[in-house]
Amino acid sequence: MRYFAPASLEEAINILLEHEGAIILAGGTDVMVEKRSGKIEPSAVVDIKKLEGELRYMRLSDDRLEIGSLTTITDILHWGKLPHEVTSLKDAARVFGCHEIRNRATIGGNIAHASPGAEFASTLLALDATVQLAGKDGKRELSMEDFFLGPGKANMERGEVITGFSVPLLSGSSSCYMRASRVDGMDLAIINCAIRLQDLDAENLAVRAAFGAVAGKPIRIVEAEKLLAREDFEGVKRLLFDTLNPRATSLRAAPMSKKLLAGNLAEDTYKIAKERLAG
Amino acid sequence: MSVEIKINVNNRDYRLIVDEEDTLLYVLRERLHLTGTKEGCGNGECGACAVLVDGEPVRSCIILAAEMNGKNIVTVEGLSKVEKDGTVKLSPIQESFIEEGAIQCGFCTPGFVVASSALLEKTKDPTDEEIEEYLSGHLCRCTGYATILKAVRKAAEKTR
Amino acid sequence: MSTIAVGKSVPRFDAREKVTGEAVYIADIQFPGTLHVKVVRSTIPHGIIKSIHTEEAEKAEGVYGIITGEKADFLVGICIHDQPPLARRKVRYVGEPVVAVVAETEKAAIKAARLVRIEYEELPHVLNPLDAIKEGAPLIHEDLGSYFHLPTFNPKPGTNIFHHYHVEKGNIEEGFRKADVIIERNYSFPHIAHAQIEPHGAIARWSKGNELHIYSSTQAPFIVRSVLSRVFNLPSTSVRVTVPYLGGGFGGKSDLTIEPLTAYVARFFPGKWVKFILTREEMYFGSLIGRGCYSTLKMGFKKDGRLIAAKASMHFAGGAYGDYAINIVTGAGHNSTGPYEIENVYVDSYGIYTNTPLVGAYRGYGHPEAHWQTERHMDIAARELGIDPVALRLKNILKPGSENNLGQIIKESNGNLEASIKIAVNEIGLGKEKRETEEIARDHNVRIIKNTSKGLDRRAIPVITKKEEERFAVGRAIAPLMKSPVMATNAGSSAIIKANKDGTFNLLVSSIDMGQGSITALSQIAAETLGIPVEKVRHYRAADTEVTPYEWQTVASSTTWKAGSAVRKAALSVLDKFKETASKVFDVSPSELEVRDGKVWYGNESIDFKELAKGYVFPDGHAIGGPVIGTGAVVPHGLTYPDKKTGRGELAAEWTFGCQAAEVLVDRKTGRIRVRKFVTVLDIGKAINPLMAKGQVEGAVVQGMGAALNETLVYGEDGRVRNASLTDYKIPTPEDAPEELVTIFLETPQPDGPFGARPLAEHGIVSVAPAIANAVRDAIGIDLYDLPLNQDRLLEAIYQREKGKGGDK
Repeated sequence: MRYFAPASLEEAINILLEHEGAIILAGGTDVMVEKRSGKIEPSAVVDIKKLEGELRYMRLSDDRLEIGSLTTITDILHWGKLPHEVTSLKDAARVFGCHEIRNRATIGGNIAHASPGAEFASTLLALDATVQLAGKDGKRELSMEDFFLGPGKANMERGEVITGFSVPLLSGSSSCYMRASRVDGMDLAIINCAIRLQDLDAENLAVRAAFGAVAGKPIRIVEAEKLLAREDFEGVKRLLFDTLNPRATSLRAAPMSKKLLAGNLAEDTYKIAKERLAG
Repeated sequence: MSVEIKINVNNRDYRLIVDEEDTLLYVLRERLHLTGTKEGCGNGECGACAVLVDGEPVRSCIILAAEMNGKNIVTVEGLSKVEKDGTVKLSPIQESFIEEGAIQCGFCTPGFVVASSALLEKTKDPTDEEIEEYLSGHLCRCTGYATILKAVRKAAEKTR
Repeated sequence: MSTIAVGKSVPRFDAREKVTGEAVYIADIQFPGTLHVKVVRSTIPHGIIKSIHTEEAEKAEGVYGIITGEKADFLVGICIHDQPPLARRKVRYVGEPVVAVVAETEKAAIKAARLVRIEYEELPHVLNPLDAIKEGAPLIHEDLGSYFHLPTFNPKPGTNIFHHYHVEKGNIEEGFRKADVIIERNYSFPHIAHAQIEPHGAIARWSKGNELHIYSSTQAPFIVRSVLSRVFNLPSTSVRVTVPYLGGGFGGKSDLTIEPLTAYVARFFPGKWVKFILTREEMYFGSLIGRGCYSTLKMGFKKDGRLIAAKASMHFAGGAYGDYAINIVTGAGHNSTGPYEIENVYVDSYGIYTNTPLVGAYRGYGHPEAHWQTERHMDIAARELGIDPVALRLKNILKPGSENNLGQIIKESNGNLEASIKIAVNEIGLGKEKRETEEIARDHNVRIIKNTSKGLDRRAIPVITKKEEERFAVGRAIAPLMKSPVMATNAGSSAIIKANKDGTFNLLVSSIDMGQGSITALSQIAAETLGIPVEKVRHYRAADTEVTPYEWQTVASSTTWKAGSAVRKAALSVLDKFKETASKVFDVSPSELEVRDGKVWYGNESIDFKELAKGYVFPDGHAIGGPVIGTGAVVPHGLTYPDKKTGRGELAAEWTFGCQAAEVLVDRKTGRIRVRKFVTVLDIGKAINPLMAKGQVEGAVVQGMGAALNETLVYGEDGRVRNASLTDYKIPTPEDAPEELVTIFLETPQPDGPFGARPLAEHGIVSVAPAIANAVRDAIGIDLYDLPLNQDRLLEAIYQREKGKGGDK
């Protein structure tokens, strides 16, 4: 295995294209684990941490939050200026791995693996964020829906690098992320749920609800959103129980548990988001 | 393939040719013979391999040594101070771990001590939430954790 | 009694080395020129090895050699010899070592190991012990009838049963006939992992003079020596076993695990150190795992609650080789019906081969399995009888004068179970009125030591849900316990104490301090006996069969009690020698002398230990005595073999009684159980070091919580352990410790224990699971019989109940 530490994005892209089987190394908290287990056998790793100057940022504009792909989870957890609309990012950061992992792991890395239960996958999906990619043919931007293709499969070409995320900040909105886990400390989620609420008028709420680890990729469930908007929690539970079809091979919970948990988790997540909406 | 790195470990500079696949943990243990840092899982899951890189705790088993070029690293061996006359002064966190019975088999101890030291660098009066933030990913199979938590709280008092 | 060393919370002597990173564990030992081993393991659960292809691997860079089991003409074992060091002809579980690759570096060994190809002819396999005893089940050991075994074990050739232990007391049929209420249930305790943070390892070298030196993180250096000298046909003097610091054992490093393999492989490379350190993944199938018990318990009660008949049938999934589980089968049988006096008892305990990793000792050794069934059962019975569960237990417990299942009579000095139960009940808040625990102890005339530890504030519990009363349910319950050590009748301990001329002493024993604190506790016992400050005793840090004296092995919570007795005797023998020399100086009889403050006294005259340590020198220069070395040795008191027909006899050298209690918070929506408060009361005779004794209990409780709530090895249909990592096999984290952990020791002195001490280190795990499950029953009204009590079980049970009520969910 070769190790490269390119000093520019262009160089990184070139190395990725030149070396078949090369992969990007950011925080390494997934790559190193997968490499050790033999799940991946990269011919080369392209350490992009020298691009931190370019890709490690959190910036606010009037109506958007821009997050660089090399932003660490600790950066997100402790950023004093995180707008309240996107508190779900902090929720996700808080339960992500553990301190040492958060210090290394990046938001880009968490997304790039297209793991169905990744903390920031459902979070960014619920927040209607876009992902920005750079490759040899220039840049492109995708919705999170379009980015996730299936378990471990992302809509990325060879030689592409995730450069950042753009998160809309809707006025009168709030968000929350929650997970179900086996233990209270460091653990992977059994399932997770992220919700964004927006006040439409005095009576109506717009809801975006995303679920992780219930299908082959993080998914929005539009029917559930509608029921949540009506606060029909029993309806949500019934819907998710009846329609979800989680794989039976999970080591964290049986499909039955996931089906039972999903609605309850959605209800909790919604209620916290609602409280946050109230201020 | 090999790569040359320059690192500072416990206040000493090293120039090393390392295999590109070598982890930081491997280089610390097998090349520098700093065996205080332990391998419990090799997967970043247990915390026994925690070291400080530029002051921040990380898991050395899931970091390539190649990534460490130019970094300052502190291992458990670097937490106690050796005075000019050769006497050794333990850090408050090390002392509290001893006094409170926070150590049993001791295999997870270096990781806990390193992480707790980083916590006390950050705050002299950690809340339970902050203790949890720094330690929740460290596994100990012997103590049931209560004595470890007590040691951290006590060390914080000592340093205040 | 005023003491100078015993009973004090001395910080552990090895702590400084451990907190600075100086303490050397097996993986830290780096000899120049060490070769590294990587094992290629079976990928199928049961089959015939057709061919092994090593040509490519042999050519790989850095490879020294590829070893197969072909040349191993011996079987490993202690009680039953049933295991080759590397598979021969057959494989019997996924993960069984088949080929060892030896290379210059670990990396080279790993790479070469990937090039080894093994072809198998698959055979039908069986993972569950209840399936393995069915007619027509795949036979895992065709040669069971030809294996050597000790006479106290009872294998059934032609079946998968490698041991059957039977206990009979009274007349079971008559007992059930007389019973007014009969209750029968099935229970299960799955396979779990010890998950010591230190992976197991060994480093072996054969000298060119055909002597073997092996370093190992073993709890049992003398067992290792004995087996290695047998299988390699060497005198004991040619096998040396050295144990460095050990990073957690819990039974998983007892008996033998990887040592025969390491020694066998090293034999092909004389003069070279050969190092074999397991990966974390291998810790789930490459050494020992624990438990795996499927049981049926039937009890008969009189209307007034008197328990008059108990029939237990326990089936242990011992794994592909039985030697390490064989005594658990017996141990579980001893106390399978809990700490109760029952007139009519009938117990069958079976050790059964399964195509799974090998089961060995795991903290509690058969007792958590036994108490899981019995203490759940007593709660269920109490409800059916309409009797308070505490009252039902108090009515039936073993008391002084009671006869246990084995025919032994309980004495007052065995400990106070009644007081333990009453104190636990009070602490958990199940008593009629809250009393001071000290007051209850006074009622029972017993000394107590109480500690309360605080966990983290449990902010992981969602804030929102605190408003939802109907979602959360609180439950409280108790589960008493008893445990006796399961050991060879001649499980001896010995100690050597050497006196130094400056009044200090070196202590040598071969018990292993794997975290439990024996280095410190045994030093305290030595110091107390010698009457000197504990700092003056230096306990040799390693165990080394060539240096330190015999110890059976460090298991069964027996070190403080048994090795401690040997240490006390060694210290007394030092004092005898001091007195003997001093008596010549004073020209009086030794019996006229006294020892205190590091001196031997005759009236007002004294001689310092310093002047006696190397022999006494008179003013004119002539010397008497000589360097003083004291020795001490013990075997357990009066143990016998079990009666062949009834399984009874002097089988337990002592008991530790106690009671545990849990307060749980059950989240009906997530199926999560959180333990808010956990109470353990144990009558430990004497806390030699209260701080460390408490540490043993707290650690055992949290380890037991892991098994109660989450832990289980998950097998694929192909017999592979699917969750062989700390990511997938989740053990408790700092956030999972209970908010309040109460430990109370009673001190009813044990007559044969040093300063009255009796075993305690395993006991904190014994009744954790039933205490929690009983509390869950109290909280939500659901009885659970299978561990772990994870979300899958809870959610499913709650769902089924709701469905049964006619609700749609």
